[in-house]
Amino acid sequence: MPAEEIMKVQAKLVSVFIAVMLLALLGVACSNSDDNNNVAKRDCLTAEDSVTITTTSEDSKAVSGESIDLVVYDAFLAPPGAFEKFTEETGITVNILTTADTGTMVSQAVLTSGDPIGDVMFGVDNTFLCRALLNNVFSPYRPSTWDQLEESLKLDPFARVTPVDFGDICLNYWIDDTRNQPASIKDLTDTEYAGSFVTQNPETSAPGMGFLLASIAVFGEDGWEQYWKDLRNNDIEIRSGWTEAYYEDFYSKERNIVTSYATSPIAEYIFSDPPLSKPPTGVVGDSCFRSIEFVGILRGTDNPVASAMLIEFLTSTYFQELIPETNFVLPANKKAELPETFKKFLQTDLEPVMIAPDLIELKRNEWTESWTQIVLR
Amino acid sequence: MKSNGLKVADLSVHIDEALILSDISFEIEPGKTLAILGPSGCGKSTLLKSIAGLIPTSSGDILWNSRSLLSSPVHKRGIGLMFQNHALFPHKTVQENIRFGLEMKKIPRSQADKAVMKLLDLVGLRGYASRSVQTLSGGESQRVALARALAPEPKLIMLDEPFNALDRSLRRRLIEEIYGILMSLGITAIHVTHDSEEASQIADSVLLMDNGNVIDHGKFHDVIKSPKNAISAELLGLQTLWKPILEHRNGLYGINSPWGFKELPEPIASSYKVLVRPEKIKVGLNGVEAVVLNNVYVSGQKLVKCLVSDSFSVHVKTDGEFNPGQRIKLQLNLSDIEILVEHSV
Amino acid sequence: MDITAKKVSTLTTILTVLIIGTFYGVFYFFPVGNLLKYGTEFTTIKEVFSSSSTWKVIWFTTWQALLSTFISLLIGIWIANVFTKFQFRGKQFLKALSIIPFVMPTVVVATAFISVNEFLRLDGTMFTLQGSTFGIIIAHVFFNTAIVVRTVGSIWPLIDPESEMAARTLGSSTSSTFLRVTLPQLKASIFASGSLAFLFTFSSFGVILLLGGLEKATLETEIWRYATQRTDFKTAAVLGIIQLTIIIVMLALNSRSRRQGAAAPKSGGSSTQPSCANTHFLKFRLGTCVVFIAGFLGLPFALLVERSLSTNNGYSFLYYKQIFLESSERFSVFGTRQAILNSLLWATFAMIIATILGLLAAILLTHKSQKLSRSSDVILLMPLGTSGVLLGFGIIVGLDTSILDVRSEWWIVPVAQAIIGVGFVSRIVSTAIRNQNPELKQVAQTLGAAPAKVWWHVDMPIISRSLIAGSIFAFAIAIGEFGATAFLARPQRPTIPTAIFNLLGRPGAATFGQAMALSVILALITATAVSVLDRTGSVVGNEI
Repeated sequence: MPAEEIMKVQAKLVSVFIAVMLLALLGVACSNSDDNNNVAKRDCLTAEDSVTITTTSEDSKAVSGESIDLVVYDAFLAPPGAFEKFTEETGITVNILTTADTGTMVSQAVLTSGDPIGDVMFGVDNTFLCRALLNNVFSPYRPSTWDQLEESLKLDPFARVTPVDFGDICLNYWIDDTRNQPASIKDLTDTEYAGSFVTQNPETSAPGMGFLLASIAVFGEDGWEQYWKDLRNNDIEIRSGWTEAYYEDFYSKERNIVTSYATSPIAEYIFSDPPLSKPPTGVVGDSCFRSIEFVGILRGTDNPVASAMLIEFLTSTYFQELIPETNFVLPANKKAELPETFKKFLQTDLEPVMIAPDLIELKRNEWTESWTQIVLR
Repeated sequence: MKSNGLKVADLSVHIDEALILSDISFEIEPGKTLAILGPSGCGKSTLLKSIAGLIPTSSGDILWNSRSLLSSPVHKRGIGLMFQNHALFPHKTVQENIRFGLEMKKIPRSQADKAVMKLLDLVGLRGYASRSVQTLSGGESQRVALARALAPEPKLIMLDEPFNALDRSLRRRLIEEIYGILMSLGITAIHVTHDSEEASQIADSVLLMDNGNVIDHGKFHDVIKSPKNAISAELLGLQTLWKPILEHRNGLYGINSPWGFKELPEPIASSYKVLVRPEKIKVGLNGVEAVVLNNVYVSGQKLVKCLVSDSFSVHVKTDGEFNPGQRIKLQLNLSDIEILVEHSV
Repeated sequence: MDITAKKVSTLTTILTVLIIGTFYGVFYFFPVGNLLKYGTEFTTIKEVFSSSSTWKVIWFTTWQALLSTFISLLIGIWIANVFTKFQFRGKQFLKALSIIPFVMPTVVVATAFISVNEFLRLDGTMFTLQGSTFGIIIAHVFFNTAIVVRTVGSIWPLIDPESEMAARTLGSSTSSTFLRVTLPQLKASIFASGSLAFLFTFSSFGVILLLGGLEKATLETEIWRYATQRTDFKTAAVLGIIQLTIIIVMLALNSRSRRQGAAAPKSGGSSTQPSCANTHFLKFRLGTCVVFIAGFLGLPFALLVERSLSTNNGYSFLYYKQIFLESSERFSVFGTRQAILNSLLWATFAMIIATILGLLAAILLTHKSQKLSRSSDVILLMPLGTSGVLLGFGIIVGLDTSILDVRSEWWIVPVAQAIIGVGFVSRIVSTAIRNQNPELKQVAQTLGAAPAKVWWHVDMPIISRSLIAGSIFAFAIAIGEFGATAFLARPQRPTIPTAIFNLLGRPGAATFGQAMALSVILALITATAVSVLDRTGSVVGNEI
């Protein structure tokens, strides 16, 4: 009877449907993927046995017409017209691919190491640097601008990554005659600053992590936990991200002191309405943690030469002079001139601290666990 | 053997393994109307849906002008069906509903609209064209459903209790007009109803159904004169039926009535009902004692309901005036007592 | 049905299974499977399960989702009731208002909620919205009300009011009638919207992170933390498997309960018409609801508008001007004008994909074959409850074969959004299909309509209202860039949510003001698009 046959066909359909799903899942198990799990524990800043990319002027001409992908994190904004200029000069088209925050971007790079989603990655910072290097994410390339770059920023002597900009994560405060103006990071535990401070969770926020690392650098691995205990007793507010901390608690003047960037006061000045004559906020000079951003060629790219040329461009004075006003960071190239507003208003009394990237990588989880226990529980 | 019109031959229908219709056979000549009478749940609606092709048949055949319809899909059979639940398209207006069949026939819009207006006049819904069907009363939506089924002038139209929500005068008017149209257009019709009077007005022949079976079939006039069994008689609205007491007298089986003993016809069945028609009973000076219960009016005719021998009631057709409680005498010939088998074999 | 009709039907089914199966297989199962395979290592599994925080997280995730869903259903049913029974001025506006929460970037919702917190001076009290579970639940209800109102609200008018009246004459009180006569007829749509609400709240990310205060962790936030901040895919994958398992169990249970004891009201009979509130009591009923909607949904939005208008010189449209005119150099980098255009285009594209596929998928959901409809019930909605992180990462890792390197194509974004949209559309549409009166199709056939014509004239208009309701959600999800979008590597084109994000990432009164203004614009665009779709739906589906 036709009815039975129809039932049989339908039953077969269902089985096919489920089989396809299972096959998809199985296909996954057999698919090719880099074995990222068995990375030998080694110092991330030691030499790599990978080939350094070199280019010649013939190569440069040959890649005209190619198209490469620049992977960036979500907060990155391309200076208007900059990449068009690059295309004009070299004939190479740059597609910008954004992901989420820096941690996500690095994790994605780790996951796809050797078979990357783009050609060049912009924005790995010094807190994530070792994670990327240990997973063999980059191919080394030393741009011709290397000697123009600030020495203290060259954390990887093997040029797997090139420093492209830096910024300091520092405590900001409202300049205001009626309230106490903090002069040092140590001031925050004084009772007169009770209830004035808001900062971010280091696990979910880059500035939050920056400030935690600053406190570890300043107070030492044995002393930082006490500092935070004292802070907690002094009524601090913790938010999950920069936006909430800055715009909710800091802007409403509920909290006078916030963890932000050294360039934030300048941004306040530029984006003020009505226009101000100078920045309304100040920076606590000894609370700064140096945050360095790097750019690197992703290992496995099909366009190594074009990627190299992009690195050249990104470290050139032209581009380096555009970065500050779009992304509020400082150029790594010593020859790049700062914009007027920065020259005028960037505080000169900043004493940023650093922690070695391999130590960060080693202790990061331990430190954040401890921090969570002390501050949140 | 060539025959025109609808022929249903030994049709059986199962739904989910239950036998709903069993060996249904009947014919309708082109242009004639068949009334189907039957109690609720006897399978009338199933029969209509099977003929329309909406329900698959298990065995048997359905033929129109000697050609089997079984291989045609529903939309190509040209058989209209007016549903008991109306099933109007809720998202369309009255006009759009009625026009639907004409659209399917690709009749140009202006022509179709004219036809719709005429039908609206016919069913007494002039001015309802742009009304939403959600706002209609039960009677109004029934009329729209009717108009919709009529609009495409199908070769066979099947109406499932089309007038049950309408009042008597409207019903009478519609019957006249609609059947006038059907006749003039030569449309064959099946009309399902439980109102035997209505059936008698419209039908050339009648099909009596019970429990998925055909109990009786034929010209109305013939069927009503000699009902095959008590169920047929009930369906036909015949009065008065009562359950007799069976007796065995002098070696014969028969019923004992106040007017005498009447022998049961052969073959002997297990249960019987007795039919005495109102016009056969006379009120007289002598006869069986009866007490008047009340006067009832059936289609404007007065019948007197009486209680006979304190056991059963009969209806009497008489011109005389009687009051409840009055004692009268009823005469009846034994030959006018019709003994009907309760169920046919 | 005759032979050809059966053949067409089977062919349609096969084609549908193939299309949907391929779409889901390539863009969901394969990527997710690729990530979850990291969670098959025994040592990691042991570690995760032996940690007490894992169990705490599972427990919290589940009960907050259940509670959020329950309250959303209560409030949603209440509002749907009022919308069904009453006709009043501003009904369309309120309807559009209810969907706005859906499109708002979580950061903006958080801002709005904090404004409410301040405005109502709830901070520090038991009812504080900030840093509390209460805040999370309220925020979830805020989002999910729209789902319930629209799903249940599209079925409620189909209930025959006479069934309720009959119950009353038989001695049943108003509340008893509601529980015994009305509710069973709504059961299917309640379960449908409830499952959607549960999936959202179970895998909710932004709300938990921003409003939950930092002690509250759910499976989703933990997966995010391990995958993106610790680069620990093994733990993230194990948590992902746990999340998926719970989702599958819940979908299967939902599927079963939905079928039991449900009496779907059929279309084509008499239906509930909205009427004006005539008596004082009715006015009161209507009034309380309208006030509640306006307050609950409108207050955060109103505060947002207020913030977008308040400059240091008093109230003005300054920030709006800046967005559209980009007068000065300093804002050109945000590309706000282009952002609006891009958002609309991409969202429309995603909506179209989701609608077409959702319609096909609804065929599977309402199929006669129990096996097919039951498994579809679960499979089609899985993406909604799957971690966006895992899906995004999975696409990046998985779709990189030489034949199929699509991971950075621009269209992968609308596709990723459409996958979630398909679940919505199919669920809402299938509810409508189940409510169809089969006699309507039969009557159409007897009037000479071939199967395709039946579908066009009878089926489509009736389910179109639900189809549009589903499309609206697909559009809203897409324009709000929900889910896996953030975790894909996508070509950097400005869209409204990313522009808001960038504006909020830079200090300055002007950038903040513009972010608020842009959020208001996003809300208005969505409300407009939704009203347009609603109106189309009512023209086509003859909405009451």
